[in-house]
Amino acid sequence: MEAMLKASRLSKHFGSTVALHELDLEVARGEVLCLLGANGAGKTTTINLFLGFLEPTAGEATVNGLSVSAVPLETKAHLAYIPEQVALYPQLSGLENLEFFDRFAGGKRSRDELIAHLEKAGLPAEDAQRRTSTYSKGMRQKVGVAIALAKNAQALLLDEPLSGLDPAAANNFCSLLASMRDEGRAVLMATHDIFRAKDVGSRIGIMKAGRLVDLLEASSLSATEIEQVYLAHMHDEAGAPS
Amino acid sequence: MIGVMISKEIRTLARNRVLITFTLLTTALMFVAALMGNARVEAFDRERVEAASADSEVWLAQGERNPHAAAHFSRYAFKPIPSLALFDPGSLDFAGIALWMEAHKQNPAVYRRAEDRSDLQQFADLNPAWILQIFGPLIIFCAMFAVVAGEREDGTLRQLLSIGASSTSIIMGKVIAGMVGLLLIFTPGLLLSLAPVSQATHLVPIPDQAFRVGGITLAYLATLAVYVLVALAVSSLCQSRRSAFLTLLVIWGAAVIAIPRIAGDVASTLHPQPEAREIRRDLAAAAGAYGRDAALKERELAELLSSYDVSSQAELPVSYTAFSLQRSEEVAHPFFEEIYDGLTANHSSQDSVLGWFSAVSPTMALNRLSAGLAGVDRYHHQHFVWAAEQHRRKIVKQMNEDMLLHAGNQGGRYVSSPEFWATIEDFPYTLPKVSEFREAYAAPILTLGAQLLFALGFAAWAMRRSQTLEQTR
Amino acid sequence: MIGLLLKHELRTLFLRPVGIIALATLTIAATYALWAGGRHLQTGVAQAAAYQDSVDDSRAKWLATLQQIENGETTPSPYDARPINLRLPAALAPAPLGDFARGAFELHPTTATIGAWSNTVNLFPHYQFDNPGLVQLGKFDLAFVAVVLLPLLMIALTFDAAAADRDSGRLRILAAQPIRPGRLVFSRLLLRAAILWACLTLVALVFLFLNAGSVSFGERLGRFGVFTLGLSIYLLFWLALISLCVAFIKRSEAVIACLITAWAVLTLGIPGVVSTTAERLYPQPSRLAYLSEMREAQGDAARETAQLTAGFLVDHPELTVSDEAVPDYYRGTFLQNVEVEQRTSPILAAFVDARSRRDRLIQLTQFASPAMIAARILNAAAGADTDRQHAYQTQAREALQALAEQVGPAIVAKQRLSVADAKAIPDFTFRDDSAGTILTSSLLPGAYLALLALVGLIVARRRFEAPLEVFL
Repeated sequence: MEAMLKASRLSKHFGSTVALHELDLEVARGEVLCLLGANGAGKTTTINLFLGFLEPTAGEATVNGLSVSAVPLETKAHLAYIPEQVALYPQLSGLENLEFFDRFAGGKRSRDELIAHLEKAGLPAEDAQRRTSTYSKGMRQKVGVAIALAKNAQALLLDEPLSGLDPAAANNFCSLLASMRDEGRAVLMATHDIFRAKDVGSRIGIMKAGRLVDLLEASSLSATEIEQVYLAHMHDEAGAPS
Repeated sequence: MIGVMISKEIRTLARNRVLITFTLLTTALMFVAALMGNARVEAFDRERVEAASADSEVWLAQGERNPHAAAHFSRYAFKPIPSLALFDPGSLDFAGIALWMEAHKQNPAVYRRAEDRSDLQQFADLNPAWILQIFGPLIIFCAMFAVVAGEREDGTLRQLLSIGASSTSIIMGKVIAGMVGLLLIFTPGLLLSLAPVSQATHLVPIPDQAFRVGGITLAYLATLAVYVLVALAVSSLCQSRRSAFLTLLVIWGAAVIAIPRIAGDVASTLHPQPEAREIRRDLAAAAGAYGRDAALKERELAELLSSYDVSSQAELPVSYTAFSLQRSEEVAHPFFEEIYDGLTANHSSQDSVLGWFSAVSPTMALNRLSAGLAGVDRYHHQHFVWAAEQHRRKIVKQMNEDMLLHAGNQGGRYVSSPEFWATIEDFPYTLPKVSEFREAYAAPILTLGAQLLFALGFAAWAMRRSQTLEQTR
Repeated sequence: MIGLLLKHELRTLFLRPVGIIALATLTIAATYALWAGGRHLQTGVAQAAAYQDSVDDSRAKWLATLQQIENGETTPSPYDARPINLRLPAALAPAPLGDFARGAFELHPTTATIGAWSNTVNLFPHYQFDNPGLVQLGKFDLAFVAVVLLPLLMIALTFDAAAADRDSGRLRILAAQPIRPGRLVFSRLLLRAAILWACLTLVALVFLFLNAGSVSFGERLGRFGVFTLGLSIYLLFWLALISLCVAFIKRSEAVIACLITAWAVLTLGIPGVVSTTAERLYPQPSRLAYLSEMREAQGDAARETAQLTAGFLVDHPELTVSDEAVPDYYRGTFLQNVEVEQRTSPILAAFVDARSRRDRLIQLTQFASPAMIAARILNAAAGADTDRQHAYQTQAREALQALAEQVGPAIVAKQRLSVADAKAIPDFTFRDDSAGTILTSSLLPGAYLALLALVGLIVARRRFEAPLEVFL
């Protein structure tokens, strides 16, 4: 079966700086691939390339077999994006925000359907009616998930969604992610949290200086072992792929 | 501690290239505008001197003529231009520059230069005062919008507070730095554009020029200081650079651009200018008041006859025609004063509306003070008009007296010799000292003082509040 | 999409305090400007009519006396129905759309009594009674609101059309949807400008009817069309400029700084520099020299009335001087005025010449500042431009000269006009520019501004369509 998200020799240079170098990567439906790496390793660049926020210098990113560069709008119909800070219109309620993004993406769901999505994402209906200026970070993440659910996105791109969340909220979010994975969605998540990556990820990619230096099966290693591999790569000056 | 804060703020200002560019541009523009203003004022004064000399020549060349006919032809008073008009022309272009000192009539000054201007000057008038009044606050706001808001956004304010910097030292440091910055930014422009004033020796000297220059400098620095403090306060109250900048721009647009126009319009709506036709009608009625009052004329004729102990006009040793001409002048004077006093009262009411509006626009208070100190406002104009009226009364009386004493019963056929015209003095005029109008300027000075105090309090309160909030966040 | 966007804009901006304040400010400013303009229009029309009536009355009495003399019904005094006392009213009322811009209307003469007592220098009776400080402040009319304040308001409402979303991170979430976020920002800009335009146009439309009063509605409507067209093109230009800044500059402070600088340069800087330069390059002749020349001519003529009379009679051999006891100063004053006309006409021509040279410079340089173009179109449409004032003055002077030619021989010959000749003297009617003429003269600058706006909008739109890498 064709991978939902696929990077083929995907490269991105900013002038002389190499942000990503010949990345080859696939994320299948029902799979969560977590990207670990230091700041500036290329995780966010990878996600931005799948979103079409950046133009690749070389190589290609595809979503559901469609080239992001060639048909950016079509690929986005399959994508949902949840950044570290889910930014919403503070003057609108959670429901109104969801309604705006849904309509904007071409959806025509009823308010009841939207409330159902918000509830599925973990946001009670009464909270959904409040202005998002009063929301915690976790609540905003839930609206972000609801946007993905409402859109019925088959691929999720998550950019450090766990940072800044309290343990309970992070746990909730991971459960939500697991259920979406189980529904057959492909998830690519950039994170610094090795333990959560091990917990929710199917595979774990380690990135360093724009290269994917390792790709591990999450189930084959313990969190401590993953951490050791990660640290070993970080201390390896050459940064050669294994 | 305060010193450290001041030096950091000044260093930040000095590294703001956009600000430096704007400051240099404004300073250069002010200097060029002052030079152009100097040339303009010089040309105007040359016109005045030439016109006065032509007026004198025409007057002296009348030949033999009836003095009353000469009083109708009469002379013109031409308004001298103070040298400070090159810095701030105020309402110079909107007030008449020549006044016909005609028999029977108290005329307004005519030939307003603004009538020859293009429509464009409704929006912009390039002179140093205008540049400073319009762009001064904008430069200050551009320089200072981020002073506190930026520190909050970057987190350096928390950092400062965390290392134990006292709230007072931060406030004092920022306020003093703002004032030092203000002096650094605007003093060169002010000095450069006021410099040509001392060189303008060709113009009619203004007695208290040094005092006026000092006053102008102080007024501008005080007004700009108000804007510095407002910028500090707004920057303290806003959460981000962007909202601080936007708020300050709204304040600028309102206080500098919109409110002065609205104020002028509201003033003329609340206290409309009487129709010129009505004023002319009243003036004509005043001029003819004596002629219409037959009883008064009769009584005065009787008194005149009795004072000379004669029984008919023909026996009078003086010209009755000249007597009644002079009496018609004298009877008209209080009526003229009533009409012009009414007009002045109307204009004062309009100005008091402007005064109220200046409570929310320091620029308006400055505008009034600046024009006043430059000697080009309504009060200075009225001083000229009144002096010309006094002169008119004097010379018309002189001509009537010549006729009174020498015309006998010849009336209109009597002619004076050419030598007589030389005894009619040219209009002597000395520009007034600003202290003559101290009451008129008390209001804008008090307004500006109150605004300075309010802005100081507002800035201190806003900065203290923002620091308290930052500490308890 | 538009419906969704409109709903969203209403929720996030126009029904929020900032938006409500902005729209209320615009509505109140425009309403006040047009209300005050309406008063100005009605007062101006009424004053012109009253002046016309008062002079017409005196003319009718003069004519009635002349008729009685001609019919032999009365024994006239030497002063009765003399041609020098024939007076025609020449009043200038505000233009039919005079409530939309008032410009410098109150700075110029609006009444004149055309009669042989006057010469072109003293034709306009004293009108300079205003408070100089107040005249200096200018008028808060709709043209000022539109040319100066509207762009500021537009900038305040639109400068963060992209930055607000970009800085908060919402733009990335929007960009993750299958749409182009640039198109959203562009549509948002168009929508915000359209709301401001609609608000202003609505107020203007209401007052178009409310203030109509007794003025010709057809002409008013035509001028309103030109005014609205000019206003719309100007607004479109600002929309284009704002769109360009929003499209090319990412930081909101930089966008607003750039726009405010542009506003200051285009609205204040360039007009200021151009008008100062024009005044310096083409200075008006001295008004005082004009006055001196008139006085000199009057003085000379007063001394030489006899020679001047002889000269006039040589030029008009058909005249026979009557032996009626007409006061000599009638003839003297008329001849003085003829002398004044001859001696001052070169100065008057120099005024016209300097003005037309200055206007040519302004016409050329207006292309550097859309505010200049807009101000000229709006003021011309409303009839608040100085060109209209000067046209009135010129026409009144021409009417005076025509009248002097008709009554002059009779004055010098100490005769009366016949009733038929007196009735044949035409009334003064001000020939105002029609809306069509104003439209024609505004066409080139208007089209240039529209072109500038369109190019700007196209470039901005292309930029908004640029790859996300550039836009985000």
